[in-house]
Amino acid sequence: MSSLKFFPLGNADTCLITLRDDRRMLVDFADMRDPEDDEDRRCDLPALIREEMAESKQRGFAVAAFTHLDNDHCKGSPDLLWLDHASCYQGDGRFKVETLWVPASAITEEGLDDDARIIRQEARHRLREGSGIIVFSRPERLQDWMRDQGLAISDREHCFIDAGNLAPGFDLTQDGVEFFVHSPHAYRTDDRALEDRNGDSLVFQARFTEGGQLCDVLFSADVTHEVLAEIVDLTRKNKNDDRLHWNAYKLPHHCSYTALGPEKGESLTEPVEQVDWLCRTMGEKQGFVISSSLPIPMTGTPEDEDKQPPHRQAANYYRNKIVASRNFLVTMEHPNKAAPRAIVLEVTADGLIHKALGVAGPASIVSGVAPRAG
Amino acid sequence: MVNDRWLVDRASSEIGPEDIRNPLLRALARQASRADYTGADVLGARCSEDRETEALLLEVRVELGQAERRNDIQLVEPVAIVSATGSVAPQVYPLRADFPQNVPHLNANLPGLPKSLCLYLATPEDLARTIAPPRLLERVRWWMRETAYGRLHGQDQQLDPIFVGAAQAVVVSPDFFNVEGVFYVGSLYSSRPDSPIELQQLLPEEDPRKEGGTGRFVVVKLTTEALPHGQMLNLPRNVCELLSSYAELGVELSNSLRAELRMWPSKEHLKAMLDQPAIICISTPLLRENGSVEGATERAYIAAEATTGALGEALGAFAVANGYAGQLLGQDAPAIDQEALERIALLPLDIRYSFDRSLASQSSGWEERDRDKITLIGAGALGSQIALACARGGFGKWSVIDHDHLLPHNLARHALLRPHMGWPKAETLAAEIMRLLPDEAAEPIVANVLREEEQEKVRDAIHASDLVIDATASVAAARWLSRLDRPNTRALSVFLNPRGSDLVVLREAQNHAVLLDHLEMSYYWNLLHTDELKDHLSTKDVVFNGSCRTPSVQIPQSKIGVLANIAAQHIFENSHHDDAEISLWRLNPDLQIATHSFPAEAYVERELGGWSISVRNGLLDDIGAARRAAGEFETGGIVIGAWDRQNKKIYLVGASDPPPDSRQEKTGFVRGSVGLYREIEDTEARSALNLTYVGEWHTHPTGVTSRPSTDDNILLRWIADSLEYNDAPAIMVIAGEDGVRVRMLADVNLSEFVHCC
Repeated sequence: MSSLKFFPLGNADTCLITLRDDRRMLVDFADMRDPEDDEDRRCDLPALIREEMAESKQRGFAVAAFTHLDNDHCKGSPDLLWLDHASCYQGDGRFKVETLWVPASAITEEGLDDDARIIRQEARHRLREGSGIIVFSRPERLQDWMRDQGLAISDREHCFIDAGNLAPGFDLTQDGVEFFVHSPHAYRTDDRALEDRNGDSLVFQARFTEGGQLCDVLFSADVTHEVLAEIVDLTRKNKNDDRLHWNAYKLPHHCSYTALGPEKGESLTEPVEQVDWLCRTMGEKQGFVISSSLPIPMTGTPEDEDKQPPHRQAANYYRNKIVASRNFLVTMEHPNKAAPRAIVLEVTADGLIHKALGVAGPASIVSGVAPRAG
Repeated sequence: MVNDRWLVDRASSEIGPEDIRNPLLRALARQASRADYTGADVLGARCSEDRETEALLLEVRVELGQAERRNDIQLVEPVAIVSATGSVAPQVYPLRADFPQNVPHLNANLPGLPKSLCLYLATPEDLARTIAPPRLLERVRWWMRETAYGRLHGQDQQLDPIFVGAAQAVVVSPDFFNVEGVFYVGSLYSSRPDSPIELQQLLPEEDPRKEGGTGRFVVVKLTTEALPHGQMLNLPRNVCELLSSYAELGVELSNSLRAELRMWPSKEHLKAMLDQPAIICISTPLLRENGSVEGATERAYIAAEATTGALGEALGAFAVANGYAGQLLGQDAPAIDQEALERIALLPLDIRYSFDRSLASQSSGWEERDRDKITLIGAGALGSQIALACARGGFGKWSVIDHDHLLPHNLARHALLRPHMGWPKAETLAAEIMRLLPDEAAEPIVANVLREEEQEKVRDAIHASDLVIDATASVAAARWLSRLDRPNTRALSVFLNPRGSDLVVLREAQNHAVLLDHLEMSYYWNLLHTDELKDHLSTKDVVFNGSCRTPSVQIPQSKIGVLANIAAQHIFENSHHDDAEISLWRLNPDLQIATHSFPAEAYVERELGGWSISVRNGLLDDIGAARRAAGEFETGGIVIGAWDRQNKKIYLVGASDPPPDSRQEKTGFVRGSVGLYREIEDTEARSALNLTYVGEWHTHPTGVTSRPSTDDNILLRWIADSLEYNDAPAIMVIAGEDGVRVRMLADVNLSEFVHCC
């Protein structure tokens, strides 16, 4: 059975996906906790991941996807992962990554520091080697960089996947999951001088199946309403509407109002038309909205005045208009603000379910007391 | 919701969850309060004045997905977990006012009282031993989720556990609600007050009071109009509530009840029963969403404290005056005495259907196979137990053939018991099967198949059967059966070895390509080659009871029971398979069961000089292979087989390798003798004398036919001489370019055939 685990990391993202065959996949990894701070309620991400990998006897990740290289999406990842490009990132206790997923900007971007730079170097290394990487872009986008490296596009086409396609390496029937790529899309990446990192981040729909039931999870990185509107327009134009369907929607940018519309609003952010359609029409009423963020601020609190997300007005839109407020899940509020724990969504024949915490194993529940026959 | 009337009635005071005394409820409250447990939250707690009843109110979280829900279960459901002194396990009651009442696995309750969740198959007593707070909570959440998606199967709605122990069962025939114009009376099976109630049909004009008639019940049965699937009735406390609870579902019950009751005083022989109480049985056909009728819900109630006369009068069915009941004339609308109806208390009865083939199959998990006609020959310990085990699973229509009577020593391990003592086993076993499956499931034939004058009456039964099971433990009977012309009936032999440790099943091929006697020979042959089974037919350490011609071995029923039931299951599972089989099960001293299965080879059959010769295909293959291997030399050895002098049959089963001192030349073969005596001795011991030396085999070199040489003729004469005192023909097998030649010398008559390979 596949499942998705969203960790409480403040305004930062990490989702650990368990595939049907027990392989693991990371969507972002951001170890944000300050070990010196006893009051820090963010989880000890490397410890939790290591524990789970040991428990499930997994030695690496099928995929590590970095939606973009902001700190809150990749911090600490070079300490966890085995990186091929330099021996100092290799050795015991590191997890190998079969395939790295990055947007094109992660290859070309200059001026990166620290962990983002290390992941960029790994991505570049893998692209140079021509294996273990999928760059979310048209290959032409990297024409100049490739030429500088002495690489021919025709030799590296297998390392690219363009928007509007299924990511290679997964088959819905066989693996129980497939990934439809929404962004970066050509509309944004053709012949542009400026790079908008959030705009060039990975947006994809993960489609799972279990017992004949499809469960769609929309991952939207940190994109803005403008990017979302473009995605909706393009997808609808290509009649791929169902690729925007979701049973769970991992909100962009930690529940920022900018993912809904241009104005924050007083008590509720008004979404632009395309985003409203995406939420109302494409979302399951009994589905889940996940905000990978700090707790939603109360009205009038200093946090409420803060420009940074999460924005109460955006949260109000999702929990008042889109899903039941119980199904609006905030990573740093789950199950309570005092001791947040990871949110687990399980893919079942009933759809995506939100697992309760601290429950007994399934065997003791279903079997009950086995009566003796006699 | 937490102020539900019934809840306040049962537990009037609010208390803190920490004040709960019941250990399970207290632990549940602690579990649900934990910050790291999100399956439930505590809403509150209540108790009765005397603290006998305590209730923990929880809000359980149900893990629901986006798939369409079949029932209205919500993400969060309030429940009351109620524990009462004297009740073994707590009951869980949903509290939401509009919680669906028409779902499976809710326990029925009285009007105004809630229906509890039916959470476990196990009895409360068994549950109490293992139930732990986390498990109970998870089970509730599981119940809710499975109910949301319509996965809790079955329509059974048991009575709320408060009734368990109080509810009596009434046993009705499967067609009870479908038969019209028949009157029934009920009576207790035993003298215990909570005894189940047996229904009996009253034949026309039969006096129901002929044996005193007290302690019997008037049975009134009704079939209402069909109702949509899943509507659930409250349990009525009295006749008035019965009428109104059906009225709530749109069913007018009083008219049909009245019409049924009127029948009783109108018949002279039934009238006298009006001073007895009534049992009311009601069947309601269920409508599916598409409008088709599927199944029915059936309920029964007993008005134990009132007479049927009082019930009829209260319903306005008739009037009773001076002990006589009469029809009411001149009244358009009969007067219903509501107060009287309220005084007639009702108790629910469990309806149980009497045992028949369908229930037998269902209970056993076997598909219903009433068309398989089976003849059983031999109703001894093994045969009787196999037949009864099959019949209990609803399998087979049986002809039981046996000539014996049940004698004292049989009681140690026969399916029949002391009441059948001295009766023919066939008759009593058939009678038991018929009692078990009341559809003419068996017929007895008291006959001995080995007596010619009695064979006529068993032939028809065998011809009309799909399968004949030989459980006689008699090789003679099995051989007779094997030879019997029965084009549409396949035969199967089942027997135990002398020590009773091994079960053997020999089953013919559907097309009769391999017959029972062939299987028997191959079974012996395989015993010779399976070291674990070298003592299979040994009688060492076997203790016999009884006299010389009626031996009876010391084997406990526990062993026969195990093996007989393996046989029954195997016959059920495999009787439709086309191929033949030889299977053996061994119950080892450590009670492990080992299985063996051997190839059921075909035989070549020829008539020769008044004898019928059967040659195992494998023997022909072996000799052919030896010839090819020998090339330009000759080779040979002895032939292992059997004579059936009575039936004039010869079986050629195996060929031994040439003894080491044999001379293999281009122009001849001289068979040596080293080790041969031992081999024959071993063959006879392992096969219990069923296989022995029957002749010689040799090959002719490449390019030479099987035509016998002068030496061969001399050899055949030598074989005949050495078998002189065996009263059996001599056999010589020669393999050559043209095939395998079988020559037989009986007295002075020589005959032969060549089987082209």
